[in-house]
Amino acid sequence: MKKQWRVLSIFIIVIMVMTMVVGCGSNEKQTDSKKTGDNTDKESTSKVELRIVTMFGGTDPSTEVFEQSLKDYMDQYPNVTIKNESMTAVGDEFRTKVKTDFATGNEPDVTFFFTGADAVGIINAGKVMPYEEIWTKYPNVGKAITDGVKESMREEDNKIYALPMTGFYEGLFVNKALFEQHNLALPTTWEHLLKAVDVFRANDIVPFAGPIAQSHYMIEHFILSQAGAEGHKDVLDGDLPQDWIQGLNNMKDLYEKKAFAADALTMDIELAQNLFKQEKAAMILEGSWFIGGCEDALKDKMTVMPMPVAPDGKMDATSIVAGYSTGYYISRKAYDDETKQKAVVDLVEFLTSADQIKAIATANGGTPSANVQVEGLPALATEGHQMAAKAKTLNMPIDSRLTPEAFNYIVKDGVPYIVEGQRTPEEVLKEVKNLNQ
Amino acid sequence: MDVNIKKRRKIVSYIILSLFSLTTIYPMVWIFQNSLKTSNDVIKSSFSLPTSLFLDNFGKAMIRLNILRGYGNSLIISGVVVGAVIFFGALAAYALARHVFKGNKLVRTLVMGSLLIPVFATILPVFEMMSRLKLIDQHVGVILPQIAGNLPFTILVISSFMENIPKELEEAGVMEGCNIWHIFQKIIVPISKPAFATTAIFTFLWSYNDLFTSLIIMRTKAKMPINVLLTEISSQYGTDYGLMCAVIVLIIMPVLIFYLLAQRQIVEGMTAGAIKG
Amino acid sequence: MSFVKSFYKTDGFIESIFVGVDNYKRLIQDATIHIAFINTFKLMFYVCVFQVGFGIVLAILVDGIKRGSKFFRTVYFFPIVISATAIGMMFKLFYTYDGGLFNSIILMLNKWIPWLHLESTIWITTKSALRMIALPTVWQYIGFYFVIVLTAIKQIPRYLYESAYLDGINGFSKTIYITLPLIKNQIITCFILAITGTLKVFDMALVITEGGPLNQSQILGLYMYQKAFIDNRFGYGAAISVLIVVLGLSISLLVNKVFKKEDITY
Repeated sequence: MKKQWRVLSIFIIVIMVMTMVVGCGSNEKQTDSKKTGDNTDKESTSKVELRIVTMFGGTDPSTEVFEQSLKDYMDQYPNVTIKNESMTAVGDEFRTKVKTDFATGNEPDVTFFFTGADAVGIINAGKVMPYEEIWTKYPNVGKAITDGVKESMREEDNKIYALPMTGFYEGLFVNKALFEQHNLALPTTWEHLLKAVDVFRANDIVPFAGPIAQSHYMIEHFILSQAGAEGHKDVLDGDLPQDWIQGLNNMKDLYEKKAFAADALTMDIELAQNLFKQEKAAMILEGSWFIGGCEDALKDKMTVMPMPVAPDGKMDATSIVAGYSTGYYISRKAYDDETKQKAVVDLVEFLTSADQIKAIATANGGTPSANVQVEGLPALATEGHQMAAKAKTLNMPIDSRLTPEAFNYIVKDGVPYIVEGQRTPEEVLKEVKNLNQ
Repeated sequence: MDVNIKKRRKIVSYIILSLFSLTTIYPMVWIFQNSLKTSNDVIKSSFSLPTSLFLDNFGKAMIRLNILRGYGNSLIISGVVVGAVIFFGALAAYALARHVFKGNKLVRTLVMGSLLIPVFATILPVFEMMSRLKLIDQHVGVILPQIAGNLPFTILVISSFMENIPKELEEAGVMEGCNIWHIFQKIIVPISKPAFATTAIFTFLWSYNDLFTSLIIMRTKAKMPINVLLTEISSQYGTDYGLMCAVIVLIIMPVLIFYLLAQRQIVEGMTAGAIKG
Repeated sequence: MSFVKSFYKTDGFIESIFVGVDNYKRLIQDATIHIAFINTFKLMFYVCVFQVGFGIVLAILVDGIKRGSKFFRTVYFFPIVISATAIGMMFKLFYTYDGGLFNSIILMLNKWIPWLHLESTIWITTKSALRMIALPTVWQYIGFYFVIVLTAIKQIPRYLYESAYLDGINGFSKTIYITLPLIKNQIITCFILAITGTLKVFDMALVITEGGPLNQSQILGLYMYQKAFIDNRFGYGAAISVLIVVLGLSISLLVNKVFKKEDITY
């Protein structure tokens, strides 16, 4: 009897321990790259299976186009089967999934992923191929992509790791109808902007749909309009940049002039967008993807323009924030695999051809990375592309040059405190410098 | 007089219960009515009734994932998880509730500790283990971590129930010459049925709604559980709220049906007390 | 494993540098942690009092009625089934200043009763933010404790009540002297579940306020999630999760010590 107790107890403890082990796991680094998840059949060497992970999933307008192009590719190359593991890039799951795969030696052969801060880890670990190395053997990959765009993809070590499809621009989206209704000049200068704020405020229209606690776009533009393209790039090198401080104070100044909604301090980006979409707000700073979410009737009333230059600001009036922040990566593991090398390169070459770039750009309205004419876009999108074409400088967003933590500090622990007068821009930028080391 | 007080108490009870039930019913209504609207209508007026029968959202959801297969996968995963969790949980709970062995306290503490570890804190090592065991893209790869994640809760709840089972029953069992397994099977398990049903419901629910683990471990659409539909509702271009509500409707339906079925189990278990009054 | 990670500065995936106790030093100095710490305790208080409290009250009421108990058991379960994200989104639309449900109701009342001078309110402010998260958090899981407590009550043999009835004990005193003492173990379990649950809350807060405005509604679970997944600081996130586990264990042990579980036999 007693004995049986003991056996049972031990049995249960073992189960518990196993539970804890599975629950907490061990944290050894796996260095040996085991082939998991893909079984290369050795029976016929010509048969290749490739895994691809992209963000063309969910309700992304490019999803259908992308899935069709994979089908086309497989028709063209019957010996290749492609396992498509794409999902939407909204939320953190996509980033987590990609990084987990790379961290555990389970990386896909081709990955469509972010550049900049997000890619630092996988690049430094040598897990993805620099295209310079590939071009020595396969010079035609990504040939359609213009040289200027390619140059903009260079990472810190001056190499190109990702080939982009479409880019984005950011700007000040304006409801022209509301400006006309109140006899206001469009906000091409800071004076016009301030005038518009006063008049709209008096007429119960929210001048600026701006979420203070999610002010990514506002931070970009207020700093750009004050510091100019060069100053905008100069992320906290050396002393605290006076222009940045002034730019953040400009935001505070507008906040005190009641340029934002009553609940601007707590609203999120989607609520801000809704204010604009319901024509309760006259202006919003947004990215090019904002166009896709607006109804056609509203698109006809809208235009997009660069942020006006701040008083005594250093910005050139045409400057905008724009660029390419995503692209196709080829894994080193796949490239080094004799059986796969050619298939992987062929696939990326196919996906980054002019036709494919055009198809994706037509679907999502972004700026194509190749010289192709995209037809059938609304006038507003064309205006946006023209604004980008006319711009003397194109800056990548600040968050491509700061660690996520440092940039999020400006967004969450900086701007709300600054506009409320609880912290000074100097204090905030000092802390950002600390975090960015 | 006495009857009057009783009546009044009844009425007050019903009023309180009904008021709270209003607050729990409304969200359901809200989700249902918004599943029949376009995304823009949801944003503009999510509190008004739908004007027409707009079924596009459900159509969209069906296209994005093979619904039936999704339900099947979910059922396999959650079903196995529930079964295993209840089986091991019952054994462990019995040991903890009834038998003082060395380390009993320590195990208890460990169980409570593991209640505190959120799933996203363990996903990385779990993933490494699963890829070493070649379980990526396999149902088992999702099932194992979920069993581990749900055991602590189950053990805690079931053991608190078992502590209430009168000792006399077991002593009687020992007198009859039953060994431990017999006691466990013939006495403890039948009495604890309602507790099993309760924890089974919640385990099922959590396993069923655990999107994170499935997303990281599962790779092929054909093996994905139904809840991955939730990732299909948004893109960088915004969220389709109407589609979101439709997807939620599709996801919660089976859970509600499961709950109603399990409830009968609970009620039946309740009336089957060991010592009849 | 989290414990090991908390000594590194790491992005959680590929790069990690051993930094010793730096993360813990930072933890002690971090002003946001202090707010999150206090808020977590406030939230724990709300959850223990209102969530478990209402759960017990409702369970006792349902136990006392004959007709409709099945109906209530079913509908109280509804909120638990819906994902926290969806509920968070719904409440966000309740709170919205412009066209939200609460302000729409206020404006409607203002039309009917103009002399009250009701005006649109900004629901989420630095002062109220935490309560605005607590409301849906507490409400969503009342049904959960309701089910657990009801299961426990139904286990009590009926003859105990019958003999009590003969002794003239019924109604309110029956609840206090018989029902509650007999389900004490399960109530303690509920409290432990509520406390550990509170420490893990993050999705609701993430959807409704993101911990804002000015970090006034920051809680430990959310802060850990943000540091690990949004800021990619897994090392620091791990240090926070170590704090959470230590905190949760000590409170749970305290609860167990204060309310000694007793062997209750019917």
